[in-house]
Amino acid sequence: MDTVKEIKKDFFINMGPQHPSTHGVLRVVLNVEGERVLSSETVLGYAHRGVEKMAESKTYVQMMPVMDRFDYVSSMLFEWGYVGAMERALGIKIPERAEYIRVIMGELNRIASHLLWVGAFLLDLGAFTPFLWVFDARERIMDMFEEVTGQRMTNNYFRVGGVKDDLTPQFMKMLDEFLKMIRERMKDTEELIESIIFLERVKDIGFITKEDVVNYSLTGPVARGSGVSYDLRKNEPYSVYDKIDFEVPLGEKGDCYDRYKVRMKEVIQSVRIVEQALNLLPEGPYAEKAPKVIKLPEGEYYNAVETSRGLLGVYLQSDGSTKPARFKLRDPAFSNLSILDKLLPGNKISDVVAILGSIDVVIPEIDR
Amino acid sequence: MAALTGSIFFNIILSIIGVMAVFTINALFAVWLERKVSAHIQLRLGPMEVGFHGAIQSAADGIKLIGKEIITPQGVDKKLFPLAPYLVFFPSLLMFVVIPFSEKLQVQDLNIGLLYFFSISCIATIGIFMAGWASNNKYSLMGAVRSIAQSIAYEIPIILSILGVIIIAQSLKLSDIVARQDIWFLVLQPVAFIIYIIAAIAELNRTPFDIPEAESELVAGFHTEYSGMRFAIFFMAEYTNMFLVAAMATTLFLGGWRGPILPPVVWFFIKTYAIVFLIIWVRWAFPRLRPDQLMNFCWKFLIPLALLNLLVTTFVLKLF
Amino acid sequence: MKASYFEKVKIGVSTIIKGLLLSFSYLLKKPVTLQYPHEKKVIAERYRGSIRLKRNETGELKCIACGNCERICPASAIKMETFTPEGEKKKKLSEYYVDLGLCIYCGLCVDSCPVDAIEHSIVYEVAEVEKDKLVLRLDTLGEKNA
Repeated sequence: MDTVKEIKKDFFINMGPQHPSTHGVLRVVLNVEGERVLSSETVLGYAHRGVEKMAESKTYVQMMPVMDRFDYVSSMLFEWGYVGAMERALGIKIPERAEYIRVIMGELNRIASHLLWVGAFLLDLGAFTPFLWVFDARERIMDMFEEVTGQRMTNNYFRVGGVKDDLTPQFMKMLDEFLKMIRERMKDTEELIESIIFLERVKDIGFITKEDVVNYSLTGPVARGSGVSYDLRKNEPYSVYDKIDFEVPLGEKGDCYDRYKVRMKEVIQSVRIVEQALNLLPEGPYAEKAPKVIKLPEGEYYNAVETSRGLLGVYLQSDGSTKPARFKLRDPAFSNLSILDKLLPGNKISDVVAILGSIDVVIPEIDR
Repeated sequence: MAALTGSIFFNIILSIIGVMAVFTINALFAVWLERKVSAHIQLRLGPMEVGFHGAIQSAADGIKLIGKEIITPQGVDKKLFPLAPYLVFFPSLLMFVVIPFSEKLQVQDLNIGLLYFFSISCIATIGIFMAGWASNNKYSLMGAVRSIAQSIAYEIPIILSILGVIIIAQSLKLSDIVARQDIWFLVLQPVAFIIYIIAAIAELNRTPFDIPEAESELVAGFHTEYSGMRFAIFFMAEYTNMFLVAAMATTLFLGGWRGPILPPVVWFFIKTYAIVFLIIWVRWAFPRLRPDQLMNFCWKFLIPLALLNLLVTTFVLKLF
Repeated sequence: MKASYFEKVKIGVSTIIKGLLLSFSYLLKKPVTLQYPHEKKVIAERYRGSIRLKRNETGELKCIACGNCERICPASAIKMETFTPEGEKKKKLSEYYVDLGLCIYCGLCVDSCPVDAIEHSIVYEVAEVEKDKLVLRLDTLGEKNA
């Protein structure tokens, strides 16, 4: 009998929870043969804190600092979703000035998030310089936040009825200086980044088709990079976005390069939004009188906003008391990450890093 | 040093002292230069605390590394694991023998100096593989395998690019090559210079070719399991190799120690450190290549270009 | 990247040269960093640093021991002990603990105080080597802050 023992050539590599390419604690188990990936499995839950259960034992006011800590690179967009749901429940309409302040803060957060993403993406690919150039720009945004809200990152600024404090003249001065330097810095960063080496690493890798976008419910720049034009600020405008003129950049092919390009263009569009909001900013109160103890009437309430990663949905179910009965987040990065197991097979190990980077995940928001 | 003093004994002592001095000062200076250049490109300051603008920072780091615990993991090969760093490091010291620092400061002016230089540099590849294999670590082995493929592949463009210089100078002796550079060979062979620099950066395992020691990729590189003094030796080997490659580039293309007014040794070091600056500058501007793109680049672009350069050189020489 | 050989060569040479020249131009610019701890940043007025209890003109604490700050803290970092002196109806503060290791510097305690007796200072250098030193009490609350 002639038995030839087949040598198994594939083996498992663990891109473990502690990994040098940032993004937090994510584990991807790859089955590789040589350099090619045969299959992959994503394991989540290393940063699970049980926040949705925790919300049931905290009052609505006490949950506000916790909302910051989901997506810590752009906290106020998450706060906006939460505050919007409560205002919808209580039927409060907030003053114009507060709406414009919220838009300015939200768009600055979006710029900060995309800047950090560009730096981290290039850091994974091996270029160390763009990381520091964009962090210089991001530091100026952090300084502006410290001026108005009191903290650089987890701001706790939005309140039911408006915002906590008004803008200061020093903030306006800092914002003017920032708007003058950001366009040139983005142009320089793009020029440094787009060398032939980067284009080879990133173009024609990780294609996401339009059917995938619909089937896996992808939103945000991941969807827009494939040509699906879905931006909550244009499709179902909330706040004062219908009064502001901006474009929604779209990609064509759906590879990593298109997603990168969409985010870079979104930064410039956000700068346009901030400039227009500054011009349209009216005088007036910055917050409406809201009840000191917040009790939502019985029922279910839902609010959606467009964060830097996609569509965030906040669902609150109230039974009339000061604490929610159920709190649920529809998280954009969680849905976006679900496509990773489809994209990876067939690519090389170095491409795994590029694809994971282009999807833009922040783990605390996924694991909640 | 062949012509420096009469007796052979003093020549040997002076050579040893000279090589150790150059090697130590280079290790201190090149590391400081790299940190300062990278910092200023990134709009920050770099080392400033220790000494004037961080001048003795490298010495402080060296003292720290000497004091660290030398950890040997459990399943490593007991004989090969400690030997590997030294095998990577000693060829660099041997390569100092043929470099002409000035007319009289050359340890031994071999007839086949150029051939000797590039042959000895291949021994370091064995050391890298030994480090990767003996570490008993999946990731180190993958890093080492990639590194060997890269080193072997990029030897060829280096040799092909300097063939043009050899044909023009008609000698393998390094002092002859310097003596015949009334016009710098950079003017006569610009393409060869560029190919040499690119292939040399690949040989050094530096970005954009630093897949073997990439920190943000999944594999952590062939020198992960080394700590303390052994890691310091790998580190010093890389910077010494950088100096040697730059020294060879000045000898072959930039006219060696020739230059007006200043003493020849000073010109040599100025030109060498200009090339070192170029190598550092390239590192901080670009991301890294994927391993298969790296091999594609070598075989499909650099080697045809080097052969073309050789063809054109011989053609032009035959005509004039 | 799917492109022809010569196109790649052209893109390659032009982008590499542009990248090198751009990074060289940044080499000549002034650095933007501050050398901490020799140079420190100017902190904004509204910065939420570590907690401080306010005193009025006579030197007494303004706190009326209502317990709002203790109830609203999301991280349970504030604990207070009160007592009712003989013959008076109002409560007074006997001891006040703030655990800076638990505090998340959110500012809800400052917002919820009815008499404006608690505030944030702009001190952010609160690191200690031992965990017990992180708990501020009534006597250290004043001394630790600028």
